[in-house]
Amino acid sequence: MGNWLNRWSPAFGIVILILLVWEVLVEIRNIPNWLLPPPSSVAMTIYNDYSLLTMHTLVTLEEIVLGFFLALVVGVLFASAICLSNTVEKALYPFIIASQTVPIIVIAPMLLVWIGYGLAPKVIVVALISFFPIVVNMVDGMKAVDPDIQKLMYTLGGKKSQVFSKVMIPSSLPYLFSGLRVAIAMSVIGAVIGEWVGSSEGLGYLMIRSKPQFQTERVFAAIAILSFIGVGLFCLITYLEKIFVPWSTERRLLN
Amino acid sequence: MRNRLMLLVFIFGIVSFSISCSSEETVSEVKLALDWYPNANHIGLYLAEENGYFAEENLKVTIYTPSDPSTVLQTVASGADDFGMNYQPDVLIARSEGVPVVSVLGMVQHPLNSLMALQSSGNESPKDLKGKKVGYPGIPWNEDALNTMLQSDGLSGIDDVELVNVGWELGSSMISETVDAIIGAYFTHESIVLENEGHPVNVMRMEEWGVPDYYELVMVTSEDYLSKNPDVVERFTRAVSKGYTDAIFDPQLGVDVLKKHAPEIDETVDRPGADLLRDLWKGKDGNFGTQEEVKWVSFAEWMKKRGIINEDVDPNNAFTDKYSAK
Repeated sequence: MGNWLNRWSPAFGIVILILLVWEVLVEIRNIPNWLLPPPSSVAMTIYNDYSLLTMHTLVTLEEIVLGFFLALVVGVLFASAICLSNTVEKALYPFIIASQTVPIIVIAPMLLVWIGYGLAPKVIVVALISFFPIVVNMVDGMKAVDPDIQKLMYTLGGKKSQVFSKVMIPSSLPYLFSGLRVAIAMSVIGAVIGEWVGSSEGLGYLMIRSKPQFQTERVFAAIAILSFIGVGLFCLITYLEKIFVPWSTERRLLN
Repeated sequence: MRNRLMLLVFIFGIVSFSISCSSEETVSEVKLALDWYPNANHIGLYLAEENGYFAEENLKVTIYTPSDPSTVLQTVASGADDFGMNYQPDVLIARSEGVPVVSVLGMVQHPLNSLMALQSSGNESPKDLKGKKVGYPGIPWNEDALNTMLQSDGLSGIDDVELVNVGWELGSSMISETVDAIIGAYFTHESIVLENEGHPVNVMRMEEWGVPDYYELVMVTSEDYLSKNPDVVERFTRAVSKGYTDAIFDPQLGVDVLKKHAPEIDETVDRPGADLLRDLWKGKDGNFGTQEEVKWVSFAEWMKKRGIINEDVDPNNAFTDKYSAK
């Protein structure tokens, strides 16, 4: 418990400080709600619109989780293929990098027109935006394997598949989790972009609807929930890393 | 002694120079936010610039395009922009939420926003859309307009269709048959784009299907700016009105000027668009900029009845007809 307090109290302190300064500044300078609502009225909005916000939050959460898993599966497959075959690496890697230079905000509306306005285009946008850090980190992890260990495995009669599953995969896991942490933060943005360009539900949709109505409090309420989701999922991944890759956190502590 | 005389002459020189400067009217810098990227709707502004009407009024106008039309009223109200082009319904919604903006010119005298369906679909009037999908840009009051249009044609309302928020992919969502009809597109722009692509559309105009007539585009400023700079507002609106009077006289010349300032425009869309807009720029008295109380009041009444704006919004405070060309 004491440990937990130590870990989180600085962050909470800063959040509370920022909120206080924000509240006081809005009050003193008499800034109207439609321009910048004070945190108290954002909190009131979250409280009053609880069921509405919950409904839209669940939709966005579903898009994030599905898109993230799609990115995870595709990312790990790509990374494995790249590390197992030089030809695949040469053929595929440039395109994976190029995929990140495609402005997602331009592709997203086209996806909607191509495959319709349901859940699928949002999941694809989330996956597109979050699979890159997964692939790059996992490839780096597999390439960082000590060559002596690989040589030793082969000398002892290990097959390529055994080296892959017993050496490369486990040693790349800490790298994979670093990639996942970056990916989960980006997937929240991806879900909002996907909803922003066309949807009928979700927090991004709620924001785009509230903006022309000058309900700025509601826009901020949605932002607050999205940040909360992002931080929550980030912590969840860190927790999962401790369970699945205990040696990674141990090593970090040793260093 | 001699030095002192020199100094005196020098001081006298500076003083007389600064007096002669201040006696001329100073140039006012004005920031104007458009409602959308430059198109045929804006040619009067570019004509005012090109023909020197802003300069005649000692105005230096910076025109820019916002990335999102819904931010214009906020930037104008907060003083980040001095003037902005926006929509009458949005001005009323803004005032209902306490955003202090005032319309000073009625720029387009009727709704451009229309309900459209592909001619090939055979949908000609709102009732034909029963049970079909209608795409809209996610703007809430467009739902109410569609509801009124459907009801005026004998349907029970919005529940008779399936609404799909397609963002700004209005035309493409209809061509790709994701939706059967769209609302939120202009019959002076999107319908021409679609026709050029080989997809002629049936246009159902809002004011012909039960929605009260309104001003699609108005020029807004903030209450604060209007009370502090009535003189700049007068000069600015006078120059803009002259520009649009020229545009009414020769819309195609206006498109040439627009093309010069915004070479990325599609002439095949803006040339026919300008011809359609020509009559829409003329107010009831034939002049540009007119705003009639009856239009503001009747549209506000409709919005109140639909619960879009609060009961206490006074439409008479939302506009002033003082500055239209007389």
